[in-house]
Amino acid sequence: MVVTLMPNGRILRLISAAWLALVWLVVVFGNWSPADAQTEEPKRFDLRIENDRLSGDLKVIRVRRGDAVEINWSANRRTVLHLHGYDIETVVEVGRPQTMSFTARATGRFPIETHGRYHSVLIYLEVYPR
Amino acid sequence: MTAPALRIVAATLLCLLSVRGTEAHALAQRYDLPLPLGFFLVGAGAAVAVSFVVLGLFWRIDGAQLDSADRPWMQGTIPRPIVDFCKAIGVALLLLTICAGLFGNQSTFKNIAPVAVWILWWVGLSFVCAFVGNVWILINPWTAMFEFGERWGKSWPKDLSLRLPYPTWLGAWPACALFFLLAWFELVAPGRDVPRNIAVALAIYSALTFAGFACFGHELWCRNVEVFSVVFGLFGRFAPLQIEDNGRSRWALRPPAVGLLVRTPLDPTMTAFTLLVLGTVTVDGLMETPAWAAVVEQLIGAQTPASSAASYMMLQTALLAAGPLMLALLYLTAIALMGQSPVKRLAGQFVLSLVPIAIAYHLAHYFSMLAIAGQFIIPLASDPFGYGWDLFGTTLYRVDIGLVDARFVWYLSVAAIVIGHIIAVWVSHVTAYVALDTGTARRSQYAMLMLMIGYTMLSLWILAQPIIELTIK
Repeated sequence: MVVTLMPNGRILRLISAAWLALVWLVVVFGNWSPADAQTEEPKRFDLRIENDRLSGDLKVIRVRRGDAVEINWSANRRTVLHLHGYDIETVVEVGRPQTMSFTARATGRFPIETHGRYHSVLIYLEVYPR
Repeated sequence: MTAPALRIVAATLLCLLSVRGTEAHALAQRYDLPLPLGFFLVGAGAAVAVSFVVLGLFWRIDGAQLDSADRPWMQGTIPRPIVDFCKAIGVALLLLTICAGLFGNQSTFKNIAPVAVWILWWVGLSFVCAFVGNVWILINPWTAMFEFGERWGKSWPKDLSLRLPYPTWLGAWPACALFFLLAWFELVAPGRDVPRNIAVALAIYSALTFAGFACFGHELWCRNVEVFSVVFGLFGRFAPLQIEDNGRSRWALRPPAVGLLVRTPLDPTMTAFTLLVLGTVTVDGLMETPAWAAVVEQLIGAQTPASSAASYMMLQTALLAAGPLMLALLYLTAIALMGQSPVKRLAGQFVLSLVPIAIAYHLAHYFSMLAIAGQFIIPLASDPFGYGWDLFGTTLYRVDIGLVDARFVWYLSVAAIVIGHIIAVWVSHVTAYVALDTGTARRSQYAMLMLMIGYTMLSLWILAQPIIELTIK
């Protein structure tokens, strides 16, 4: 039996204590609460694509679960955009900006790709838990 | 071979494999969020603390205790109908996957082959083998078909194989080569998500396996060459359920991870195989980190687009080879630092103690992928060929990307990594007592613990990195 392999009672108690401490720490560190309360106002992002690349220096779109999100896209040539996971596809034409609007119901990290001759990632959407 | 001949071979191979590099990572719809700093620190701290607790409060184990540890709690025979049913399922799934891949719709998510092979078989089955038991023994379609041939063939001799002598020096090296090839197909090869490529690869592998069975017998071949048997067997050592199928099918329930305790050391080729698997599991994650992207950018950033795709593949292949070699080097150094000889014997004795760390990382890395991308099997079961069928009325099922919450994955990851580390330290500790004399057993563990802490930290670090896709134009 595995029990006979266990160390004597003192060590067992110590290990259990270490386990409890670990669980407590994870709970404390893990459960931070968001600083801002949920707002009715959607989170807006204005992004511009120049030759299949994003201009500006935003690398990641970060929102929280449950947020309403609006991403406004404009481009200097016709670009097909695909937000994976949420599975939203948008075609942005020159001079005709498009908006992706959705509620961030699922957490995770989702690539937004241009689907042309190559699929390449423009930016990632990160939805964090509340 | 001359250059033109080589070019013809290459061209033929390329025709066989329809290359669509543009759809790399097509199976990924959602990635895990990077592990937050707090989780990372707690996990790292706990791993270090556990290591020192074990080292500080060093308790003694003797051989008798080990004997009682891996004595099964319960055991029995698996009824023949269940075994036959499992084998029939295995054969049917293999045939379905090959046919769907060859004749079905060639779009990745309209054909059952990519999801069935890469997600359910490769990722899903390795979890089942690690946490339940090595069910591959029961569903292996190749042994099932071969045994069927032996049982029912009346016009030929009962034993279908020639039973040629297998060269002992070769050991599990062929399995190593096949595992490397498989990992290369999974992580590097363009067109790995194309159903036809998967079907062709499966058909070729089936032919190779049957040829091997016919020459050397299936027991020998499955022990040394058949890569799925070897790798699932390795993961199955961790599982609480022990499954055997040599003539009679038996099961035994034992404490988890005791299958990793060995009295006789693994032979060097199996040691190499184990290190190869462990190294590959880590490299898989490394290839998605920003650090790797920066390295790639540095090395091939300035090249012309046409040549960079090829050099990117070469870089990935190099990493795939270098990762396991690096791990092997560090591991052998740790063994050499034990100051005991012979290194060869000790290397075979301790290598399995690293397995729990790799299984824990594998779980943390792939759990949400299995839960989310695995759902594709629900619509695909109704329409495996992508012809527009609706066999079970599930064709319209939409994958729920919110099934696994990010916070749950974080807790799971850290818990898995810490528990995996504890089990690894425990296995190594017991092994030290069994393999070495009491005086040196404790001293032997310093280097091993350093290696384990390093390996665990690397796993945690990878999980804390934002996953990025590299697009090479």
